[in-house]
Amino acid sequence: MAQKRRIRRIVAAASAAVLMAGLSACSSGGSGTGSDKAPYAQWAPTAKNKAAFESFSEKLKGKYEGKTLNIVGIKDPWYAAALDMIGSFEKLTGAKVTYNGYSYNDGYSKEVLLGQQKSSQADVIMYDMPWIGKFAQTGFVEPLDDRLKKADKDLLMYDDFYKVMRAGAQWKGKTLGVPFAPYFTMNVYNTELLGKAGVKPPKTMSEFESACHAIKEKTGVAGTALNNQSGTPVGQAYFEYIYNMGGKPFASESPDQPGGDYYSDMTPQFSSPQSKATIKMFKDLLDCEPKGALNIDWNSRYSAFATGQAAMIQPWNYDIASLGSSSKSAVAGKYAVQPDPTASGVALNTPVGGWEMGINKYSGKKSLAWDFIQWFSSPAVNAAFMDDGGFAARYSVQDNTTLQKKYPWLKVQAKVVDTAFPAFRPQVPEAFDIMSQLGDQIGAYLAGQKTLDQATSDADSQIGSMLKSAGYTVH
Amino acid sequence: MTTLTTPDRIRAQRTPHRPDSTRAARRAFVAPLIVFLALMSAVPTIFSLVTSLTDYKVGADTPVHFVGLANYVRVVTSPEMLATYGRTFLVVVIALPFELIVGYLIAKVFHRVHELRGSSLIRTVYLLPVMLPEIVVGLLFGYIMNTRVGVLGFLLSAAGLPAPDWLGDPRIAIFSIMMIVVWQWTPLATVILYGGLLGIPGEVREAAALDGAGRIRSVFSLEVPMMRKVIGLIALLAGVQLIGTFATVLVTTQGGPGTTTTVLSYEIYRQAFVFFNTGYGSAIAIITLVIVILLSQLLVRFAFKED
Repeated sequence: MAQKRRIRRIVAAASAAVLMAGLSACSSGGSGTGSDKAPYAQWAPTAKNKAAFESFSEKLKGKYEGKTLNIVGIKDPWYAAALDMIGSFEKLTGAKVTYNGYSYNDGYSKEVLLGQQKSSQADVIMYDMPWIGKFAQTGFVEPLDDRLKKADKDLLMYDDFYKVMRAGAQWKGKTLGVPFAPYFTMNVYNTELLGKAGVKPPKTMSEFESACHAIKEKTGVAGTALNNQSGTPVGQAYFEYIYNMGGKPFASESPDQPGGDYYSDMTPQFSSPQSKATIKMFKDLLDCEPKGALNIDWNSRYSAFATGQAAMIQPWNYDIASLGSSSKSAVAGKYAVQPDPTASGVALNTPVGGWEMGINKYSGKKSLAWDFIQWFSSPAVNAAFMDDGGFAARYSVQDNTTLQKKYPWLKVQAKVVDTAFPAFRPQVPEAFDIMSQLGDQIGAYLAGQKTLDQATSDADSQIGSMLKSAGYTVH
Repeated sequence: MTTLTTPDRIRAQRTPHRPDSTRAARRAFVAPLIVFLALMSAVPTIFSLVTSLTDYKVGADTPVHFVGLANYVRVVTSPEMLATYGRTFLVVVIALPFELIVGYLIAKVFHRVHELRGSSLIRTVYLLPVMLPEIVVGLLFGYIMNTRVGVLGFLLSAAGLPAPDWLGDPRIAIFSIMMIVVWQWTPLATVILYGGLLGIPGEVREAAALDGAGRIRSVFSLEVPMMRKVIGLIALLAGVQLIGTFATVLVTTQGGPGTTTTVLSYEIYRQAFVFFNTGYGSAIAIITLVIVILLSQLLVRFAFKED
């Protein structure tokens, strides 16, 4: 009896220990767990860069023992790979790095509030390209121009960063961030379903629409899945298609704008024929999308394709990256990637987004933050990050043959990278409001609450008046 | 012999000449709580009230202007906002009676079997949804009601019934939200009503039965009047909770399709924390607060009035 009781006690204690271990792992706040892939120097693209990287790593050894670096960012699919890199940085420098990752909307709110409070809680700020205007306006993220000038050119290889990401990190002539995880959209299609339907991969938007309906009709499977959910998802979707439909969202927001002055005339163009055609296309495609199409957002768009319930999508590359894994995707080995389709005669304009790292103006650990940014965004670590499930921010990483073999879609990305327009989503402080308000209007149209004319005219007047009161030129 | 009424008795029990030091000590003991309540409740409310009279936007590097009642005028003249108030009202008037009626019926079952072995375990398990965070329930139902992978659609299809697009059909999405909320909160109503049923003395039930009151008559002439305060309490709690429905909408529909599930708390969140229209969001919150206070007062007067 006593022995039974003892055994029970031991089992209870062991269970408690396992539970505690589990809980402490869950509540570690995202601190990097690390990998033994360091020093990553083998990924350096040139001998000079390799030498510079090794020398930089040598200087960092144990330099920040006992110090803590706080990062605020989001939990996108590269999160696990970022934690691996962070773990290596911790081992190298002795610093403890805490990564606080949020969802997209919550991450934005958190960072705006930290800036408002002039908080020193975060040292490194990760931000999406369209947020830059907001952070520049509040002065939350400090300019990096002086640091970039003084940095070791062989280590930094600044021109190796994608041109569009370098441009996207600039606000009114100042550089506020360093890119590390850029996103591009591409058209991904299920080769098996297209074959069954006898449809060729679409190159134009009208071919895309016809293919969508044909696939649904001939196979019973949805032809596509678009981000139709009200608010930010469908608001962003508009920006992802408008340029390739031959239109533009605001009078001066176009890659052809002389002098790159994209925000000189912010008169909304949501009622233009191209805008209306784009929004109407969203509605016309609902018939060949999966059930529940009005609630599709980024995740459900991906899952519809990955589970074989939609034949074509235009996702960000972070979704494409995991399609090849048979443990995550039912279409592994049955899909192909190509550039996004465009309207006939319209030059490809690949949507771009993704993450940059900046330094909090109010941080008390700016040197540590800058060393981390230089290390993390270096060609060698960026390549290791990509290899581990992250993203290429540099030409040298994208052109790496080992990585191209592992991620064949990287070759398509290499083709479209330089067709991207950094301001395809406005980078003004009001960007988030614009996308949400536009998304509400498009959502109301898709749900049958408004006509197309009502929705586009309300979007023009609401967003126009918001921008006018913020001081923009709106006619 | 003089008969004292209750207030007289209380007055008589009071010490007529309580020393000032005792009074001061009492105040000193109560003071921290008063200060705490003021800090936690009154200060934010006053701050919101002041903010609602300005064009304050969190995160904007622009000067704040006093705009008077402009935000309030914008709220009451916006068709979208009026529709949002209407939608929230709809949630309350449909979900609240549902919670009360279903809660009452289940409470009756519990009451009938309350002496059976294992009944307390069933009551505890039944109460589990209340203990789950609203966000978890929302995520759970997001999957259950998912048209592609959801178990609800699967079961209906297996039974040969059409599976609606629970959260994606603009005509029924708001009712799906109500279903989720009712599922989560009905157990609370049940437990409170069950307590109320247990509080009705057996002699009273026996007397009613002797007087020839049937089951239906007993419900309306005995149980409902005797549990008026209990029902009032549930209506108050559930009403406030229904007006505050937020996380369910956030994780299942984000207010869509279109704006068909955009309810007040979600709109306040969007205005204050997505668009950072702090002044405007505060105005919506203050109007909502006034409505909640007025409705609560009406309910309190009706349910808690002395006979």
